[in-house]
Amino acid sequence: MRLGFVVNPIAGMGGSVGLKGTDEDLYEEAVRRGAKPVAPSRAVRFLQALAGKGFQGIIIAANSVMGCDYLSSSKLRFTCLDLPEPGKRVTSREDTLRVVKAFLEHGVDLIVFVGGDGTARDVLSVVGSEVPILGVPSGVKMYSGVFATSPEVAADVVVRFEEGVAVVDHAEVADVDEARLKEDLLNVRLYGYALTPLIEGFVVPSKDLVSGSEEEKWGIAKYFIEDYMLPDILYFLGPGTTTKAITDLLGLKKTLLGVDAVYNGELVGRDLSESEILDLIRRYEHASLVVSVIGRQGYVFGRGNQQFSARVLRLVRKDNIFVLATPSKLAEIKYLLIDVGDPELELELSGYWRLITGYREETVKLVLPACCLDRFLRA
Amino acid sequence: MPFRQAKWDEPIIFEVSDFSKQTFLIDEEFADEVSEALSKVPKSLARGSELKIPNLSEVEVVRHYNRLSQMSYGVDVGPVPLGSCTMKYNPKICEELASDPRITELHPYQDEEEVQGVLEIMYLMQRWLSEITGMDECSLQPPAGAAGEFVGALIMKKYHHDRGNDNKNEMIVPEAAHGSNPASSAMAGFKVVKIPTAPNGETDIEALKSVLSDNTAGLMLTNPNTLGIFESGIIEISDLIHGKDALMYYDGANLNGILGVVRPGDMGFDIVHLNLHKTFAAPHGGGGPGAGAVCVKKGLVDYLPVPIVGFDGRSYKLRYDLSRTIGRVSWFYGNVVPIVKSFIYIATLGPALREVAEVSVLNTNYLMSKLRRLRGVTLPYGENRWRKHEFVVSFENLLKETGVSAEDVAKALLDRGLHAPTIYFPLIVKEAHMIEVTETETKENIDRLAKAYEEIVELAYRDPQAVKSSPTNTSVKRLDVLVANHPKTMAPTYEYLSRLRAQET
Repeated sequence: MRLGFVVNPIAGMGGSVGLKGTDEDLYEEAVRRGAKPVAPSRAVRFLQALAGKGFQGIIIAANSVMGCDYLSSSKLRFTCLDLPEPGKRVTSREDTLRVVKAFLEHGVDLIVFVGGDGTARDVLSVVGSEVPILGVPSGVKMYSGVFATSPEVAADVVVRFEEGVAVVDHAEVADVDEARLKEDLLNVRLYGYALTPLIEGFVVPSKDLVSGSEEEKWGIAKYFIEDYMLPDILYFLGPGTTTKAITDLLGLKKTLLGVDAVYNGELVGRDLSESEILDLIRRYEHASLVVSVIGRQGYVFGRGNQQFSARVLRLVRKDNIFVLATPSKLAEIKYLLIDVGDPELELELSGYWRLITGYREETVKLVLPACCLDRFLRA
Repeated sequence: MPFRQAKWDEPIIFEVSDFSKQTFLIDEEFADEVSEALSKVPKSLARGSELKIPNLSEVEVVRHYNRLSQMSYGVDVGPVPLGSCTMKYNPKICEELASDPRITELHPYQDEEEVQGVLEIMYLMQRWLSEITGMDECSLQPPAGAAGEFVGALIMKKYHHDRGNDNKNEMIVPEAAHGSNPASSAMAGFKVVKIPTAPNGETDIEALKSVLSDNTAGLMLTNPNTLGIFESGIIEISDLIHGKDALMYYDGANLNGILGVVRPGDMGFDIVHLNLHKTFAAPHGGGGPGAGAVCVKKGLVDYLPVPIVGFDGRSYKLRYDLSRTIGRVSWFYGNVVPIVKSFIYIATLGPALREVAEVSVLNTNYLMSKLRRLRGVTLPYGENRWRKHEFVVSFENLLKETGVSAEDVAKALLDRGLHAPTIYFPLIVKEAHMIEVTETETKENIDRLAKAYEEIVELAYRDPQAVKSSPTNTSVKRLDVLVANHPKTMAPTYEYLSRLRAQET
């Protein structure tokens, strides 16, 4: 097996000095505040664990601080790319992009990157769904679903992947807009879905790794169709692989990132905007929203599905909203969030919701308003 | 105490030696009798090929099993602190009496008049268990704990059906419940609705209220729950459930935290199942079989699985005359041997049964107070509360700080001659160790366990790799979890093993 290995050496530096990331100009600010690198030690931990677990494959690594520096003392088989240029100590996202392109040219089976959400985005922008990717967590923000919970677990996943017992599934790549974060505006965007290796049936201890296994999604979709999908009701299906499982079962082709509409088993709208959704609601008598939980922070509305705006939610009303979530995803999340920029509505919608979490299985979860979280968490 | 487990390269019994030996000498007369009998077997029914069973001498058999037992570990060797499993010591007096030929040589088809003794034992067990749980009648039929749960769910189903309430199709189950609760509910045809645990470690009553409806069939609850915390709102919960004309089900797999102190019946429960092999000291976990008695309140007695044992003032009888019974769930009397063992356990303790709970709760909290002080260890949910029969600590911080996981810590315990606790359960606690020492363990043993944890955690910060490479003192070293758990790697029979091997070559 050929493993592409790239480290974003500055990832995670902002965390200890109170910055929310190290994207763009934030890096210099981090250095000025005395931040120390985090990623190199994470990279070393990952490689040590990989060697310890008897990884057999060959590693195609980025040069110097982006990879090979951490491999020189290890027993693993590796070759170094000539990217980034020898001697370059401070690297940028362009370097990451070029390295990942080189991985594709060399034909790797899996890409492991050490970094955070920003790095995940960069890697995804090049690989798309060509090659599965796996993140060794080293960022300040890790909203994306492509990260293992620790460097050691990441090594575990790689070895499983090599043994052919890992399955490859879609996971979200999301990121916060750091410029707006400085102004205290949390704006998480869903950038797309990457392929990532997951381990099914691994009961302990890596159940953390299992994220939305196929079987769970099929169970949810089948149950929803059997028990909740009624004739003459318009269903808006939000983004994500869980909602897509419904249309897959119905034999319809849904967009993965967009909002689509289904009526009496037919697709009547694709990749809809807010105004198109409002328009359809006016035309059909009864409308329901079907959404899944987005990201590791547990957003039901306001992340990746902004089309479901406050205006839409007011028209549809809570009784007609269905939330789907796989148990493995839910296990990571304490409460769910709504962020539609309308505090009054957010408060009105918050409370205990019944989520559809399996075939004939529902789970109660607390849904909180993003506007006024402090108020609830203190209580 | 240094620990090195025996390591024999012991073959499986089919391969101990060739098939030519025999255990006993058989005299000619007996041999003649056998061949005469065999000659009467019609050719069409006779086996053509040689019977493939191991033919070994007595000494080979004894050595084989003794060697295996030396590579094994159980409560007779040291503590087995598996949370929710209640691995208490099984007193030898129970084993001895249950092995009495007057029990073992009974035949299920014997006339009831000839088996009055065992029927009396069963009758008294029904009475005692009713008294212990605060219920009105019990059936000893279910052959295991989860079978008892399933029976409870079926009783609920039929009860609602009889009252014309087929719309009652939702079973509420806390997310920290035993995993078999949602499974039993689903098997009985209910939808499962899971409710969360509040930060104080109890069922979130507001969440419960939010899901109650006319469709609610019942609630399955363990109290104290799997975090070892007693549900202080239990009366309110019962009232809420009964207010919806639904039933309260008590998962009494483990009564060690409340035995003789409080009763499920007094908390408002309508149906209870009991794992006799846990609280009442019959062997389990490979030493079974178990028994999962089910007890109910008055209005549900007619639904119990049959037969139950009745007494007319003169003799004991198997009763099949329960009008609404869900039917049979087992063979003959159920699993009689564990019932007899538990009967003896209760009889020998008498009123001291309450001390079982008192000592287990004391042991739990003593160990908990030692472990929660360790670096990298936290006690999630209800940090300031005492626990009952068990407690759950998290090694999440240890994992973050050292890379040593709950599983690694468990493996390191094995290296110190201790059995690991239940790990990664309940799912609401990350990197969990669920620990239950029961009343069995002495203070010295609990101190030993605490000391082992202390050493392991200290080692994790000093030399994490040393912890991650354990166990090394055991006969079997660290297994690849995925391979070990995978159905494709398991061979339930010798026949199948031979086929697997043939495939490999």
